[in-house]
Amino acid sequence: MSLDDQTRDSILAAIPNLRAFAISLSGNVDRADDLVQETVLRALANIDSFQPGTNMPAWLFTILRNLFRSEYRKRRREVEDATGMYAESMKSQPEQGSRLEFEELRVALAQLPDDQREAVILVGASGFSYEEAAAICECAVGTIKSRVNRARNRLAELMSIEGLDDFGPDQETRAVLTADN
Amino acid sequence: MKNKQDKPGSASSSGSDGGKGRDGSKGTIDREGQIKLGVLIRRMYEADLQKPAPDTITDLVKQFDKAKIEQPDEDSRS
Repeated sequence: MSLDDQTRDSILAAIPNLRAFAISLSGNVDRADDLVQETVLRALANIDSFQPGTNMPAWLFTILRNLFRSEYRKRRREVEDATGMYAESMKSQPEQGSRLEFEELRVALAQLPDDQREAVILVGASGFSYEEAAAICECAVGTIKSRVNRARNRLAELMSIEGLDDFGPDQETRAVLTADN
Repeated sequence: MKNKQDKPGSASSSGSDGGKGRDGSKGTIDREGQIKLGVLIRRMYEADLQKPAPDTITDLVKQFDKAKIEQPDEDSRS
């Protein structure tokens, strides 16, 4: 096995994104760290199968996504519980107003099917194109578009989003009142 | 990671996104709602990006590189 400087740097550069993706998938920071660590180990063990010049982030995301689905999917019930615990911990650290909306979003994300959650994060947050997301998820581009659309609509339903007025101070106030109950 | 392929959220890509989902969802949210939801998702993700990864993860990569450097010395001794 060999690891040139460019490959090493590209892996290191991808770690924050891998971690953010893992947090979104698992809803739990500790579990996300385990997932990223396992992804890096798997990538290093198979580094010879990576083609230099191709998309390193996409390769790493594919590994992480497959690990999540194979090893973490069976813990889905536990993950959902963990998400609740994570959201609870967020309530005790109100550093900024948007945290309340993040909390609500995380809870809503946890209620999405795995395929919709990963699609909306890959396309809507990680910066991958539909084509790249389709390659990572090993499905057709149209399938990714459909999953992203369904995820957005489901999130909007879960968060009672209908338009512009559903964001801002009123939403925060409602979240605060909910958190106090 | 970003490229010039079919851009998510573009007018061309949103055309097939409309309509009612097969999961029974009510339908599409309006354009403003989509934009705001997208912004919220990105902001949450960017907040997660700011959280420093444990050293154990980055060390895995760095130590692997170190092991590679040490490898020729072992080879030369044999």
